[in-house]
Amino acid sequence: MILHGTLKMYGQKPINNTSETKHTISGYIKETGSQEYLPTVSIYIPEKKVGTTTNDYGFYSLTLEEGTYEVVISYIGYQTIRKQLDLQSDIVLNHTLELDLEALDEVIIDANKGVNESQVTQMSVVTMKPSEINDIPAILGEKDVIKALQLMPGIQRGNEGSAGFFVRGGTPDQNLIILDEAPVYNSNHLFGIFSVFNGDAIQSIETYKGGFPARFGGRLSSVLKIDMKNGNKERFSGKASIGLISSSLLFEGPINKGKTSFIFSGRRTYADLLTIPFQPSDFKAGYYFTDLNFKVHHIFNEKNKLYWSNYFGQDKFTGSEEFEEGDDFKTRLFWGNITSTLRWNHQFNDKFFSNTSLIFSNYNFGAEQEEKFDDERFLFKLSSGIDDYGIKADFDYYPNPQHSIRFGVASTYHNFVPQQSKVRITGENNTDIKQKIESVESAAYIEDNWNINSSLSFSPGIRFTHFQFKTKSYFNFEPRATLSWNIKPDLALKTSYAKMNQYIHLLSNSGIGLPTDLWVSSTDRLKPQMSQQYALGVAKDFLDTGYSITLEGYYKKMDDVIAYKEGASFLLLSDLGTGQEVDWEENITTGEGWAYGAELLLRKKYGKLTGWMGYTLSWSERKFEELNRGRKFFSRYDRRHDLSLVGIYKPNDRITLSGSWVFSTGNNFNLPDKETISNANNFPISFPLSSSGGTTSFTTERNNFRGENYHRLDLGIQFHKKFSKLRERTWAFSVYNIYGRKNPFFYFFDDSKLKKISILQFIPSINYSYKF
Amino acid sequence: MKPVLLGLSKKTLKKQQMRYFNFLVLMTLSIVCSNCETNIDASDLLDQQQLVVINGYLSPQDTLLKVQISKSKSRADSRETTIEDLAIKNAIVVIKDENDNEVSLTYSSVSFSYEAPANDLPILAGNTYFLTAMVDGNEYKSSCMIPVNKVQNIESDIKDEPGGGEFGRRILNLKIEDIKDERNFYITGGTITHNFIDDGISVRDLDFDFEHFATDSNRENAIIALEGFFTILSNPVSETPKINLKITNNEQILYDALRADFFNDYNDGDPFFEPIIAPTNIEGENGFGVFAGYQITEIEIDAM
Repeated sequence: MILHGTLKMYGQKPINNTSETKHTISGYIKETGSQEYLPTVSIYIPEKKVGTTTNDYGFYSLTLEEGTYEVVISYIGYQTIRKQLDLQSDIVLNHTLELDLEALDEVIIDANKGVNESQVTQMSVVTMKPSEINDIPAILGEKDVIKALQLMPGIQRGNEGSAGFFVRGGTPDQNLIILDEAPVYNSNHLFGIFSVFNGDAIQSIETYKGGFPARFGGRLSSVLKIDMKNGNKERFSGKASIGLISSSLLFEGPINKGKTSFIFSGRRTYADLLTIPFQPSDFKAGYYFTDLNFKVHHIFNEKNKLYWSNYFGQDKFTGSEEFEEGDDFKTRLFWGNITSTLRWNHQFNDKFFSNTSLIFSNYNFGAEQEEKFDDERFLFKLSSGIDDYGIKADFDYYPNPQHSIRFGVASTYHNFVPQQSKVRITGENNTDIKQKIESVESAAYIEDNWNINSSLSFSPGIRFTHFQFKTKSYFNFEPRATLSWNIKPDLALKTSYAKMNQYIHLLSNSGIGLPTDLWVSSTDRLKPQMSQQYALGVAKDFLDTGYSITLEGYYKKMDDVIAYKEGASFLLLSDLGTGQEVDWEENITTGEGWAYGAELLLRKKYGKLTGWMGYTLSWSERKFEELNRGRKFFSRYDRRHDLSLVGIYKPNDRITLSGSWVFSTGNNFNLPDKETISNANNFPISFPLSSSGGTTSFTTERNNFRGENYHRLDLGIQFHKKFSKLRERTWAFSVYNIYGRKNPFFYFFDDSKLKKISILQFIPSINYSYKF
Repeated sequence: MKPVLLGLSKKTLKKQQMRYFNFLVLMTLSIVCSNCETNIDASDLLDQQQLVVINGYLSPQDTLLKVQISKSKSRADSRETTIEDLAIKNAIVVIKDENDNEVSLTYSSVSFSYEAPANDLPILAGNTYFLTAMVDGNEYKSSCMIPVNKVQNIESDIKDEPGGGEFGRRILNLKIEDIKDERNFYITGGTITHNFIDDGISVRDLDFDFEHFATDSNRENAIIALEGFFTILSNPVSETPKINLKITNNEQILYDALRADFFNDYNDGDPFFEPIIAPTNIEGENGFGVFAGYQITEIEIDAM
């Protein structure tokens, strides 16, 4: 589990911290071999019944009275270390943990291994190991972080196949997705079928659905934090993978052994390359997407470390046609993200740790059409995008085992280009239009994880946010708090409150998260979105069996959420013919939102059989003065029931069997289901191609049509073969939607017949990978 | 080679590109689906409620007051239905002015509407009018206010469409002086009439695409620039084709209702388009529709 800092251990007694001399044990925990820093490792002193966990950079600090103690260092999937320690002065204790190859056996289940749900203050968090993502069957064998998270309660998929996700009744733009501290604005490839995260290079994944720590802000509904590996500092290693639609390669190793490492991973689809031989010479069309991750980690010394992380991902469609006499026509569509983060870890002393980040993030969508005809040339370019330049400083302070304090500041300069277009025609004046919105978003926060006594812990936090657009300033105060009460050592009652503000917004009316959806900023006329979320839950660990169960209820009220006005869209934001800008804020309306429900998660994290059952009962409603005639309506992905069953079974080290079954109430659709005489019939102006004089179809209620229930079963099997300790090949077979359920993608009327379009029925896949 | 882009106006390029983009999305999805279209039994899924739809628009320039009353039917209803079948013919329809002067409208089987001569109840700019309709024992009510002003100054300019001139395609550029110091909602359209030498006649609608609908939002008291299209037919004509240009200044609810219908029609079949929920100001059980006022300006322009 996530919490960095003090760890509440069941049966803990109040700690005597009177006049005895105290000393600090601190250090870093790394993985044997790769020397990767391990986050959330438990460091526990059984005699004192106190403990802590490592932070994101593997650092921990624990201050105790003088004495001799046994220290237990443990982490799920790694061998536990027990060490005697004579604490007579401050001690630096760095350790490496070895992967526990026996960890799959049921017999080694250890109640102290890692951190259990009931033993941390934090609630509403989902963690997932990259290895779990690797085991869950996926569409076309493309292992996908977000698709795997969609199987967790409270995190819902959008439409069939979509990698967009909706957390506790929120919208995709209300999810803060951060990759090594950099926000990622578009997390989808291929119109949402795949996410941009290549699982091979990922070290850890955490998703916060509520009870947000004060260090996170800027979005209303969730934080998805993904950290990349640092690269192996001891030896060169890698993984190559070949699938039906893409291949990927990961390569990592030392640049300067023990000091500097790198990791590179790349993925590319190749449908475009494979179809080249089958295309006529005068007509070419192709589509691909690619992801590249590159990271360098350098250790100056034990107290100073540098991380440089980069991500580049792009989708690209190209088409060209050649004609006689050199005439041609070309078109190109592309969209993608670039992120780059430079981080410096500095350890001031054995209780005080800092991380400073310089962050760049870019999202860009573009479309081009070019034509050459006789001596005339025509070029049309259209683009939109966002550039973020940020600086952030985070500090961890561990004064004593009762408190783990974090504080920090951050500031980001946003440069939005809602629209840029360029027209070039031979013999005509150039037309260039560029809209630009510049703003600065800043925050300061402080949070504490306070173990009040053996059964009560409290995590208060506060975040001050400031947003500047031209002369307009928004200043907001965001209190956060989580309280945890251990009724029994393995049973905790938790409650949380979080207030969030969101200053940047995604304008979308596609409903499925297309790259044409537009990021814009709050302005003097468009206020920030705001939410308050209350949650109450129970966490119970069955320590002897490896099972845990959490039950949470939540209520979230959202204000000033945004939407396009009726009929407005990206298309209407400017008039290219006249060059006149139509104010995009005029096309936006703001309203209120309500989301509430309950989530149940029964999970087995270790053993030969792992997996979970997640169930969500939820409601999500919206109300806008200018939509649906001012009446409340259910949001598109309001689903009453959502059930996921996921199982991963590893009978031995040669086979992995996995399956997932999901069931959910159908989506809401906006379906014109009535017909009457056109309202333009008696109006003196008629419109070409319109139904004036005839009949017209309409609906009186937004999201008026509840689609059919959704369900599907995915199954997968992997065959592993080890050639040596470090070399392994895997054949993976999986089938998505094995019983071919025709789940609705959208509905439409064809004459008087209601029809549905279904996609992704029975999609088998095969994948080969080789680790070295 | 026939030029693809050079024949298009700049204005429509973006729309073309986005439609092209949507097509690409659909094409991608069609690759990953098979046998993906299925008929659905809609009997339990659709709302079966029948509405009484009332639409009536008043203008000082009217010669005939008209109110159309119809019932809605479910789109899943496979019975053949004509406009006449949908029209409600036995309603009692009355329009009153602020001074309780009233006129009863009678059903016309030609227009499928309730009608009365405009002389029977003068429609005056700035005045409020009240509608009452009794349909099968249920009373429906609404009111409207006629806009005070109409558009006065319009400049027009006609030129060949780049790449389309040789096919008779023309661009009609309009500059409309905004009615000052008030929020205005304009609808623009009209017809082009060709009188052929052989006595035939052709009347075609002008195409202003999305710009049939324009507001003065963000350009109060400015010039509203619009771009329309029409085609000069090649058949010999007896006189210069005439454009009858119409610009209405409307109550917002009328503008929104007609715009909703236009956009819903325009994007019919596009799965990425969210249909617009049209507004209503009809009070009464299951009542829906718009009773609203407008003012119209008409001018005639030579199309050549």
